[in-house]
Amino acid sequence: MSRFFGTASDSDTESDVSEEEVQQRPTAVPTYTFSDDEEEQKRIVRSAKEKRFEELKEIIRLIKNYKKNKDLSKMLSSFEDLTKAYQKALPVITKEEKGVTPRFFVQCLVEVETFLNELWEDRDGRKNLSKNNSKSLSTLRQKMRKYVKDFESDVAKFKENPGEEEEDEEAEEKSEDGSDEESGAEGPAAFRKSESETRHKPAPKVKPIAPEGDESDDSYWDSDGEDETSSSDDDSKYANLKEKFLKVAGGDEDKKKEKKDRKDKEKAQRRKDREEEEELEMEGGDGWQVQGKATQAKPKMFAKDADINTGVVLKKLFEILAARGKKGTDRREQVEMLHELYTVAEANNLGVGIAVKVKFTIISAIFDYNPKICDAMKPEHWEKLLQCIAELLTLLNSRTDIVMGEHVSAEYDAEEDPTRRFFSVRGCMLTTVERMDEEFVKILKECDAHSNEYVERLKDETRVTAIIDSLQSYIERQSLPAELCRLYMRKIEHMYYKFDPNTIKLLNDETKIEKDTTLTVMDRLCRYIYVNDKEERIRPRAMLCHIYHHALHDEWYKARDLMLMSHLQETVHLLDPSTQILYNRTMVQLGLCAFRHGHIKEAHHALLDIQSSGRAKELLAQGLLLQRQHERTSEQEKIEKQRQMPFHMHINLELLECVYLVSAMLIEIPYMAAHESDARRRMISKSFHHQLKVSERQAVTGPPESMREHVVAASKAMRNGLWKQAHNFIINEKMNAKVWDLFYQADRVRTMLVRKIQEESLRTYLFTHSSVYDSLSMATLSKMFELEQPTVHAIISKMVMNEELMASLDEPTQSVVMHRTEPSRLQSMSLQLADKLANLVDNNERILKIRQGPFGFSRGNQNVRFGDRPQYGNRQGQQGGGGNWQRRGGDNRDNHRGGDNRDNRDNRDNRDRHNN
Amino acid sequence: MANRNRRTNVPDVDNTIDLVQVDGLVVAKIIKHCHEEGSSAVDVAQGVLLGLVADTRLEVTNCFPFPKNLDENFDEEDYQMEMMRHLRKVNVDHLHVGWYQSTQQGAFLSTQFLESQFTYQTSIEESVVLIYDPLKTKRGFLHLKAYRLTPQAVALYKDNDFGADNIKTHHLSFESLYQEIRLVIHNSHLVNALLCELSEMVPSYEGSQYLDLGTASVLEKHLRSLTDNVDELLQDTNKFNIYQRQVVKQQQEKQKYVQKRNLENTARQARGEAALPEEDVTKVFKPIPVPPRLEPMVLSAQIAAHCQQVSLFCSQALGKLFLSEALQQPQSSQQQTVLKGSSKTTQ
Repeated sequence: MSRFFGTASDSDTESDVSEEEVQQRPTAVPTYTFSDDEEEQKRIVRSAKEKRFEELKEIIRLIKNYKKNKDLSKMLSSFEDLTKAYQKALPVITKEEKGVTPRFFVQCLVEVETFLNELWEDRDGRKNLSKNNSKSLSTLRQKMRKYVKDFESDVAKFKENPGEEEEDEEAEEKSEDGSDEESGAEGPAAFRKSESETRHKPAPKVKPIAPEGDESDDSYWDSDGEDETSSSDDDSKYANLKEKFLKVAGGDEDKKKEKKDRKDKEKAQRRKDREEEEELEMEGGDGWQVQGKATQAKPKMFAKDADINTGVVLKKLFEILAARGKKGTDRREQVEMLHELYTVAEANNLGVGIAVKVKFTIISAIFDYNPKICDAMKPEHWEKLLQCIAELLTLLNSRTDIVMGEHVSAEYDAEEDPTRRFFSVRGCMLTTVERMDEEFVKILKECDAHSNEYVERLKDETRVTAIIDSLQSYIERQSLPAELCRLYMRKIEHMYYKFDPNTIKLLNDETKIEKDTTLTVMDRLCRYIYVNDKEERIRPRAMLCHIYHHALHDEWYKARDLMLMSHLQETVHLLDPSTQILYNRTMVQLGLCAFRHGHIKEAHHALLDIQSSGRAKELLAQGLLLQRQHERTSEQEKIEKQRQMPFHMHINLELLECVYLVSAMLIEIPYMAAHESDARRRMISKSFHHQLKVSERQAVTGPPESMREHVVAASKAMRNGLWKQAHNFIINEKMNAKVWDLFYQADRVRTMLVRKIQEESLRTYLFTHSSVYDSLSMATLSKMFELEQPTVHAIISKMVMNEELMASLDEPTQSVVMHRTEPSRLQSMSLQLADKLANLVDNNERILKIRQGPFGFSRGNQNVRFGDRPQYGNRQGQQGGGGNWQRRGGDNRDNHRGGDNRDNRDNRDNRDRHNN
Repeated sequence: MANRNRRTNVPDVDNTIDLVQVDGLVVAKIIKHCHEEGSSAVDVAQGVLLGLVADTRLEVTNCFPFPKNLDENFDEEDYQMEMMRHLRKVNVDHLHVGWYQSTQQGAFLSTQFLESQFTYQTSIEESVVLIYDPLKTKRGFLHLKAYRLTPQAVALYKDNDFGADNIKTHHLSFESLYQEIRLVIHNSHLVNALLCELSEMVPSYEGSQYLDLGTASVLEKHLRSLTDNVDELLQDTNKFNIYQRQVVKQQQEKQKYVQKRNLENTARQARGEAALPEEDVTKVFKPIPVPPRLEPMVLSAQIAAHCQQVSLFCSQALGKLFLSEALQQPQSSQQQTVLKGSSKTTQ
């Protein structure tokens, strides 16, 4: 089958396309990349054909000459010229000759081929050739074989009947063309594919046979036959496929979306294939370039004098659409063709319906342009896209009589309904805008976050939000709750992370600012979603965004209550990853908010999950973490990259860590002081302890440099009750620049922090040094920690209440009187030992239990303390072998008791001595 | 001096040695060496005892210390032989009868300790080990004790199998790992006379450290080492627990396997086929290695020793406290009543 079928059929579909049309085209599409002289030549078509043919014939003559002289190197160069010339002539040929290769050209090819084969076979002769010549011979032979493959059918035909007239062939071609006609625009794609197959298939087959001269010819014949069958197969397949597409186009609306999804997937797959194909093409010989040009030359609109009406335009539109997503389709060209169609439609005043329809298709074509989903759009396409969508939306908003949506059935599509006086256009604007939004995020992620480019792109956000706003007004008019919810969600997602200083002003000063703050807008949108969302996906996201926004604006109680009411904490692990990321972000923001308000415990709690794993970066989707244990597959990495947040939405990780560490410090240091000798002391914050340990391991600690070192140094100072030092470590210029100035009201946070440090230092001081004092004056304490006496009073009272401090307050003297009921170190150690021994006994019991079998003594095996004499007594009879440990247990207990008694005595003695 | 003989615990003891008689010279030398080198927590001072056996009495008449070998290729054997040869030349007893070691808070028991004593006892039957505690001596109580491995322990070591069953067959428990031998310090009459004279010259304030009432530091140290030992023991029991569970599991699997096998065989017989070849079940189920029981036993012995020391110390301390209370009472009875009244008001 000829490789020119496709192009031939193309010209056939445009049935009556005359020369004038060809001339008209370049003006209609100014972006075409034909060079000037070519265009000129096309204007004088006849001469162009002749010129090209003359060129070809000239080269062929030269080749014949060289053949006679056996000058192979020159022959090689002229052969290359020939291929180039033919390539140039190809558009002319396709138009003038209906894609039939000129006979003289084929003849030349055949001649050269046979000549080369003869030369190749003649080994002795080959040896006699000069080095240069023999080299050229082999390259030429290679090239020839490659090149001839493109013309196999022609060559075959030529070989069959070398003397036959051209007309016959043409007739034959035509008849076959006719059958192809129905498949219309499918033609080129199908042909392309078959072409590529023919190219791939014979290559390995031919190579080994080639050296055997005559047989190689046979093999060509064989492969030729195969190719024909396979390509015809392909054709039928594509015809089927086309039917399928047609069906889809006319199918049920409810199924439409599903299908669309599936189609998208298919498309993605196909795009990938196509990419590969294109790569191959790049590698392929010159013939392929020719092919590329041929398809570029394809777009043709309507005949100049054709009657352009809605039907025709629609037909054309479908035609263009049908080529969408196929291998051979040039995506850029599609966009251009659609643009052209749009201008045609505009020019002929076909009504808004068509305009909307075409615009919509343009948009989806732009979306299609990018072959890979994970790649970002090119900026120029993005610009175009934004513009298109904006235009379309203004169009939609300006007219009230356009109905656009997924619900519009295909039959009414883009038609003016005379009965309802509506333009119904099929397609979902919302999906488009959502897609656009996603593209926007992708583009942002593509840019280097620290470059100007990023800022430039980020400026587009106003346009994106403007589009969303205009879409909002459009959809609000239609009032479909589900769609509105989705749209509001979009809007919320553009809003929730942005800080609006007006809100804080409003909160603080109570001055009436007339403008709506984002907070109120958020409130409204979220409420709508809470009420109207039927799917469960949007609601949690909206809630999280709502909470985030509240937290961002220091509305701690509202944010917290909302979080608690949402019960998201229990179900968040069931949600999709992106929502989980949002949840993490929200929790972090909530923690920061709590910190700003001085709710240290809550802040610590909120940040604990994120910080304790050491994967804050990953959990907040602000960058990929290097994984040591297992390598990610590229697939995983792609997915993870897709989840990443664009840079402008990032939460400052250092701020986050600092807040976490400082709150951990404020909680942990007093706790550590209180439970210094407690064996069962638990770590509240592992990473804080880790930091402490790291600094302790160092032999010499210099002045702190990093944020972490500052916090650690402060903790150490706090441990000793040196609150001023701690204060200086936490709040200084370095830390201000690094962390604290990032807060909106940094000064307020700092005063809060100082206060907290003072209080917690006081508590730490009391915990660590209370054993030294008999009584403490509150006045002194308040002076030491620069706190007002009532505060000191309050803190001590609280400690006494919580039984953290064994003391009582003496009102008349304003002093704290210690009670000394804390166990001494010896006592607490004895308690520890007692615990351990209890464990040991437990373990021993277990060993014995297995010894004795499962039905020994099932009663009271757990929690056996060695104080339980009666139990021992009970068991004594049952177990024979356990004498030793029982005795031991008893002994230990006695010792332990003895120790306690003695300790008490000791204490008393000490006191006595003290008194003396 | 509370050298309690614990031989009563072990009735079937060998009667090679039942008394260690140590010369004053040896004691003085050991004390000097250990105070110089073995007073820190990590280092232990060690040395060789020289002497003779007379019936069931071991007379230790001289000793020399091991150097702290800083050098890698220092040969202890050579050094010992050399020393003994030199001592022989100056007409000192040169028969090797054991070794001595310093200790901290009585925490000397370890597997290495037992092992070296085992090698001593196998090569020189009568050898003993003297344990000296410099810290306790500082507080006024000379702490020098002689120990030997019990014959059962020696037998166990010879078997070199520390599984639970073997220990059981040897009737060994942590209490009968080692035994303490009565120790007597022997001095020549001249020295005794000198000591009597010297005791007159001791100033009256000397020896007040015997009445030190502070108990916390000693008890804390004991408690700490006790806790450590208990921790280790706990881990050992855990290991044993796991082992037991594994054994039980394997047993069940084994049974299942055998049953299945039998069923299959009967089925085959019914079908008239040849029975499956007898396979060694132990090949299919490899026996799980038994965790050695020596370590926990040593730990238990160490714990027991600690407990004994604690109770000994406590009884001494209590005695002292009562004594001092009695001394204080007449003086401070009046003051105390006043204080009691004031404390009531504060409370």
